[in-house]
Amino acid sequence: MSSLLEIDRLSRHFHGLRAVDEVSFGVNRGELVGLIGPNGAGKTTVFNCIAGTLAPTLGELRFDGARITGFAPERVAALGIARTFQNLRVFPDITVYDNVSVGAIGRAGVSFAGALLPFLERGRTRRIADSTSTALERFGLAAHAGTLAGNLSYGQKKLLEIARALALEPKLLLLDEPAAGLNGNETEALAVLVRDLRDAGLTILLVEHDMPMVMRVCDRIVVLDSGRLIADGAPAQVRADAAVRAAYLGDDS
Amino acid sequence: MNRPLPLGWLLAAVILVVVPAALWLFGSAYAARLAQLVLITALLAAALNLLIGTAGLLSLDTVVYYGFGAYLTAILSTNYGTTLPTEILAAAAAGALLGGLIGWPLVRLASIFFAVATMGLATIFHTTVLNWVDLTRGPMGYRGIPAFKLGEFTIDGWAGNYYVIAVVVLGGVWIVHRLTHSYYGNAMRAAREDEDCARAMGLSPHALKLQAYAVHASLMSVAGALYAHANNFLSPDNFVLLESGLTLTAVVVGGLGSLPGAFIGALVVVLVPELLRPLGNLRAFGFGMILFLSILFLPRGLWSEVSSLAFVRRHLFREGWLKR
Repeated sequence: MSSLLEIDRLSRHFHGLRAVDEVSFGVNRGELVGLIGPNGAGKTTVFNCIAGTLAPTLGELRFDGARITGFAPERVAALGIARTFQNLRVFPDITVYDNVSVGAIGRAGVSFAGALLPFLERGRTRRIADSTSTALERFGLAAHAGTLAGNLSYGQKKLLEIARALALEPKLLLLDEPAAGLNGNETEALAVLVRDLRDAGLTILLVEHDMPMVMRVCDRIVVLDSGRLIADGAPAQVRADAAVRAAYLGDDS
Repeated sequence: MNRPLPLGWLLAAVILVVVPAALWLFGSAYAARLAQLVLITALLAAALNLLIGTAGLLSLDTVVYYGFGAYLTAILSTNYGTTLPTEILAAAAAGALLGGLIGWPLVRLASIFFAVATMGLATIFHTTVLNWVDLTRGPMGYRGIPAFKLGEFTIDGWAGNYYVIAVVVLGGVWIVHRLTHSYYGNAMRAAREDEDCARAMGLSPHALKLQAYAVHASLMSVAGALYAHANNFLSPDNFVLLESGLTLTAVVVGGLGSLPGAFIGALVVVLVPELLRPLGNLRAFGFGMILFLSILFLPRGLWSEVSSLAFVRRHLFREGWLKR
């Protein structure tokens, strides 16, 4: 298996606080990797560095063989990395359809000339419409296509965020706590969905606090504590790791 | 996406046939002049709607680009005898260029800071026009602007003027309609709602906002070109901050994000003050009161985007007037 994403001695400091301190790990093509750790361990900071929201202080990021350290978010997205946000970030005042289309637009691009003279961009427009409908169908959101996204239930908004990210047709999907705030049934459905995406060949990096879900769906788990990587291995191996139990999981898990 | 716009045809029919017929049968020169002003104001409102309703930039700089286009056209046609197509193209191109240059740093500002900066621009423009006497003839105003010319042919009389304005305004509104009712419009709305999230989806909010700003400047400049000819006379007093406020009022009263609303809003801000003339000294008070109450009781405007679409669906489709 070849590495799709390589994180090499990544550090991010905030005014002397080492939020992320020389973290190195890779994500292989087709792999579902969980990134876990206690609150403040630096998981979201790692995410934001990959997605371009934060520039790393030190270290290097490589995606698909090319260096992406410090790239702007829109450039990272254009290369094929899509993300969801920890705190819900749907566009509330536009419809569900329009929300999902934004991902597809990011992939295919739109232009001023194409908006005025549609025949110039018929192919592009069709691609956007197709990936939008596909994503809507896949997440059971087609029935709500005309609803304003702000009016969806919490669980549906979570799904909408993933649908929008997938409409970008990414090579790598970054999921930041997708199960947070979901009830048992919804978490169960989400776990199945994430696993299905991985089985369909998508590479996924998942930050999540729901341990049963992480242990069940992930191929590999990376554990951070106070900005440092303390474990990297298969779920069973990580669960048995003394350092991980001490820092995060506790003795009863 | 690309919803059919039966309203668009209805609107074009009213503007190109019904209104001229009514003016011809019952109208006066005064009524024809008001009709022209309503159309020009509607183009301003549509352009501002693109900026506020779609791109989410609350702007008070209408008079800058409106006045720029007006003075540009006045100077061109008086000194060089230019014809209509040249003037429209010149106003559109120069307006877009000026908007692009000013917009580059401006659209980085957020919400209220953007609004305050555009107020500053409006004030700068008024002062410049007032004091650059060699170019604008200053407070005396620019008199004797010639009528519209198409080739060798001079368009005079209200009907000719009305049709020139109607066609150009409909063209401008069509551009705004295309931009807002397309995936391009979706991208702009996404940038308006959540800039960081839009970037994470691969969009560049700065580029999108800058384009919206340049297009709005271009369209307003074209509206100014029409006004210069329709009015034959320009004064710095036509381009004070209050006039920007009136366009904003037309947008809000008509309904944010709605193009039929731009026409309705323009009708209100142009006609209501005229209808209130019998009130004499109380006229401005009455107009202000109407605006104040309309915002209190109809915050979504007379024809908001949501209600207009619902109206079309409910009535036209259910009644079987149109097929889905």
